[in-house]
Amino acid sequence: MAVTQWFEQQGKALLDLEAQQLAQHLPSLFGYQLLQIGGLGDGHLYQSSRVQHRWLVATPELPSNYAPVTAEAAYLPFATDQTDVILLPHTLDFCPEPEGVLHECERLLIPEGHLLITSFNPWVWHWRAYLPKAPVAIKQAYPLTPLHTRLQQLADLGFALQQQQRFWFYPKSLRLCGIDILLLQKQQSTLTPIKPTWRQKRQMADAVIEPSARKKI
Amino acid sequence: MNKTVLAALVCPECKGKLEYDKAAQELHCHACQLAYPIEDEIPVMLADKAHPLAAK
Repeated sequence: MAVTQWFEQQGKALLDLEAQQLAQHLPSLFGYQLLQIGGLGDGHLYQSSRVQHRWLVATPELPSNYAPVTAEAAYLPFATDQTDVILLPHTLDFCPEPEGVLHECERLLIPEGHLLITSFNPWVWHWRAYLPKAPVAIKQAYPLTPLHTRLQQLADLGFALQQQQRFWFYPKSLRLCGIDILLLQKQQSTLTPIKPTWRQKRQMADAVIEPSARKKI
Repeated sequence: MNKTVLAALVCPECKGKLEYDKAAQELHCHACQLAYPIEDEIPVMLADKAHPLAAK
């Protein structure tokens, strides 16, 4: 079973829960263009957003019939500094080059632009063999990066963490099955040229100034 | 086809401008010499699906 198929059937409740959680963040993020990388939910996840142009980008790992364009998540066909909000719903869990995806997000976002990431709790991947009925989505995910490593990678790229949230999609007793939601903002410091404190000495005029005759009183 | 998306697209390799070939239903990148297909009015911007322009 494909990952997107699992999210449409058994995992639909999880996807609805994620849409509900994302609705707490998306209405406060404004701009001209929002991109969702990965076709999960067929546009259902960003319904609560108020951004004017909202586009779904299907990837080979997370396809969608509703996406107006298909591209690799690590090689996105959009211009630099043009996007206000990027949504990555489990894109980093299923993409073979998650670091490349983050680099592309950094390139695409305008300064002060927002990045929203949802991903599985990494511990669930390590313990998946022991789970009674591990979801297909977790079985097919790549080795998940620990949260502190992910946050360090994002900080190195110049992203500042604004909000971090975790909720559970299995009963709370099984605390491994958590979903992390990260809201980050791209920080870009503007360079202000520092002027030298010293001043250039006033140059003497080439022509010698002749003394003027004083008036006789 | 979504013309707003088409106008926003650049080459995924060199991030340069693309030229729309309506007859062939392709997007051409002259810098990389690659043609990206448009399948069912959806641009497929994958390096695996692109073919060299010279081969046409």
